[in-house]
Amino acid sequence: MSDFLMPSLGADMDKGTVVEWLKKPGDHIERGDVLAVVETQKGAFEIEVFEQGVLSEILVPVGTEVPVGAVLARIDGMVAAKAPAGPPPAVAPPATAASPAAAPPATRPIPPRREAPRSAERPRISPAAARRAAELGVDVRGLGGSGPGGAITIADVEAVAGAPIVAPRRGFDPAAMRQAIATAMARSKREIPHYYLSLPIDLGRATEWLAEENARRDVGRRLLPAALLLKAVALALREVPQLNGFWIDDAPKLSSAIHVGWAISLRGGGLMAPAIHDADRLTLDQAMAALRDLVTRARTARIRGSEMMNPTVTVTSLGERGADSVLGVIYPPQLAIVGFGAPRMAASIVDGEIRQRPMVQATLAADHRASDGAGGSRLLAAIDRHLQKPETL
Amino acid sequence: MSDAETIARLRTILGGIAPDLDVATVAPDDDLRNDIGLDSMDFLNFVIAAHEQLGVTVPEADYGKVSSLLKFARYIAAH
Amino acid sequence: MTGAQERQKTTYREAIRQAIREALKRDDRVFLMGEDVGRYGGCYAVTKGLLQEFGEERIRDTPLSESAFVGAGIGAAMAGMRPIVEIMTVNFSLLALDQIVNNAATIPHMSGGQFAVPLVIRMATGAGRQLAAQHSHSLEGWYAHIPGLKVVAPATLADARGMLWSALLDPNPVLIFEHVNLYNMEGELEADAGPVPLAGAVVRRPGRDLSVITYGASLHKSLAAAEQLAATGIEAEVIDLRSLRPLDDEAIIASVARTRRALIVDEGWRSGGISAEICARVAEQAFYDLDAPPARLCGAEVPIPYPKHLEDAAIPQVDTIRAAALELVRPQGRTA
Repeated sequence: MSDFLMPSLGADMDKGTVVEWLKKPGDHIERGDVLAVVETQKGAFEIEVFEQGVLSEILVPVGTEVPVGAVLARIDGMVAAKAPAGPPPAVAPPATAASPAAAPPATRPIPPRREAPRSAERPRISPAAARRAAELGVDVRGLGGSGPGGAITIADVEAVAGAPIVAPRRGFDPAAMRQAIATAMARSKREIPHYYLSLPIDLGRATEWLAEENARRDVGRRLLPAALLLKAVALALREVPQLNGFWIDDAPKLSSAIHVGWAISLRGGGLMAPAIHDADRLTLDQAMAALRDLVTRARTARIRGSEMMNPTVTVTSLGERGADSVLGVIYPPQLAIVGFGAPRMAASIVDGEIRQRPMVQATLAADHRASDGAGGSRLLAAIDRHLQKPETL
Repeated sequence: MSDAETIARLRTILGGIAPDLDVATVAPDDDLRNDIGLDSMDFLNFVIAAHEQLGVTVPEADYGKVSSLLKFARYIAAH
Repeated sequence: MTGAQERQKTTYREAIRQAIREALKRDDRVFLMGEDVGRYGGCYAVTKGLLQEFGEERIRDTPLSESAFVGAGIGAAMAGMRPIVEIMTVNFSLLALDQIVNNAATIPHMSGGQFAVPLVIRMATGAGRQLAAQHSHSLEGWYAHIPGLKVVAPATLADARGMLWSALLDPNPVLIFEHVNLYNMEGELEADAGPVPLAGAVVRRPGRDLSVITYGASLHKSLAAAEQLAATGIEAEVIDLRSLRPLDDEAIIASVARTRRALIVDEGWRSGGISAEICARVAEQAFYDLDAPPARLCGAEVPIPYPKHLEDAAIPQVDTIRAAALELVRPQGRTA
């Protein structure tokens, strides 16, 4: 018997709401299966299980908010298997419930909160909403509540009247996400002594190589500069490991795995930076596929829990329509954020001559507690070096 | 297929790759990057989806010629 | 309004004084008595000048014995007079509790209706003037517990002016609670503003999202909070109870049935207070219309403190009313 817990999907998360169960008691579970969809301030995420067995019991009904570490379900006959990407020891794996900002690691799961246990059969619902639900023939089991204490209100009932009850609150709330960003960024600026470096990088060779490569490729296999940037950063981090990992309990906890959090701006407002796991070990095509997949899923609110749990570094690329450069704010408890401005044609001195070259401003914001400018400079230089040999990425 | 029909199909495709957009509000001559806010990844996904569903192949060099639904429809008509 | 051109600036204090003056002129049986109401002009200066105008027969300074002068008032009322008794504050009225509860409230019943007690007792209530714990409590809810009494709390100039005459016409003892923070309230009133009914709650601001049920000085804080809430898209309906005994169930329930949410704001203490009574009636009569549990914002359960910041913190204020309303209407939105 093993517990399936509410995971910590980032240092700024302390609770989440189950909005959908994708398996039911009795179902066989393979490692990597998505068991539930959990909504946080940053939106809804798919939570995978890293073991196999049989789902024996669901303890938290849909629509219920519980703290990180709460037991969501029990799984029988578990054969422990490692998570595919191996969440780094530094970041709270679900079993410890430790968000670095919050409680110390708990040896036992935190009990779901103080109120009397609620069952799916008797949901918390206002009398008026119950009457309305009866009038409309709405089944309120599994319905999320927006009233005091998460109670179902008339508005909640009317919102789903006539619509099938599937993940009623799926999607993200821009105001809540703004709050999550505010909390994380304020903490970052309060606690992390940032230092900043920048380096203009000549993208000429990379651009030419990409154009040739894409001209040969099918539409579906085309590469974007983003894939080169992702790969170059991941490889550079291998050389400068002190920038990859976390600052926890007043000490750096470096990660051997390189999980690059890729900042994705959401059109509805806000942004998220889910991880591309082991980015340094992906081929360029795999990196491109991973990026495409990630962006597409971010747009449809289908990011997985493991992707929010463990990025070891963040990359933010403004794209060709962005500003010239970005001095990032580190996502705590990470150690660094690498930024790329918009590539622009600029005058550059090459072999003693002024030439017009496509240039990009690569920047680094890093935690001065964990590294110094010399290490940071080496990282930017390594990124530059890799981008000059695109064919080797 | 008339331009209007092609635009309608492109709009559906756009909705598929950018479900967070209200595609009904995308005007035929809105610039998909500057006005609608597609990033390079969205745009590539759009080109790929159009290739899969409409059979049109847009080389990278021609991206400027398909920067709005109307331009894209005319590009398809011409190729 | 036809009387618009006759409106004149006045204060709550002046409106009460005018009401007393008018009653004295209108009916020879009316007289006023209490501590310092004559030469001193009343501890809150409500009766200033009345002694000079009406003489010692009708404006009577009494000894410092609430039990004695309230008892004298009851006797006078039973004998056919129409006394207005002023007690400095509700805290001091406890010295006359026996007279009010055991005599005034019971005699009409015990005499089988042979004796009416057409007595009016006015007293100050509430906190906000830094008068500390023996002069600042809101005990009107206690009196609202007693059958045989009528308990009113004028919160507006029109009610301050109009309730006294209605109270004098009533055959039962009527207690009028004047919140100390209202005496200086300024506004306009028609020169010939007349009596108003004693009972019946009034919607002072219509709204669709929640009902704020209150009275006395808290009415004005509630209206200010409603104004702020409106800026965030929440429309609070504000109900002025006016009368605490009898309570206007019909008006309360009609409003709550419409808005589906009730917030009761009462400067008095929560435990066993009038707010508890209103809450219970809402739950009893509007249960199936409620979309959230009835909520209460009451005075902190401490003797009212003397320091200004603690006194302020001990009773409902505009920001706490606003927060309580938000909690009720938009619990998610509160942190966002």
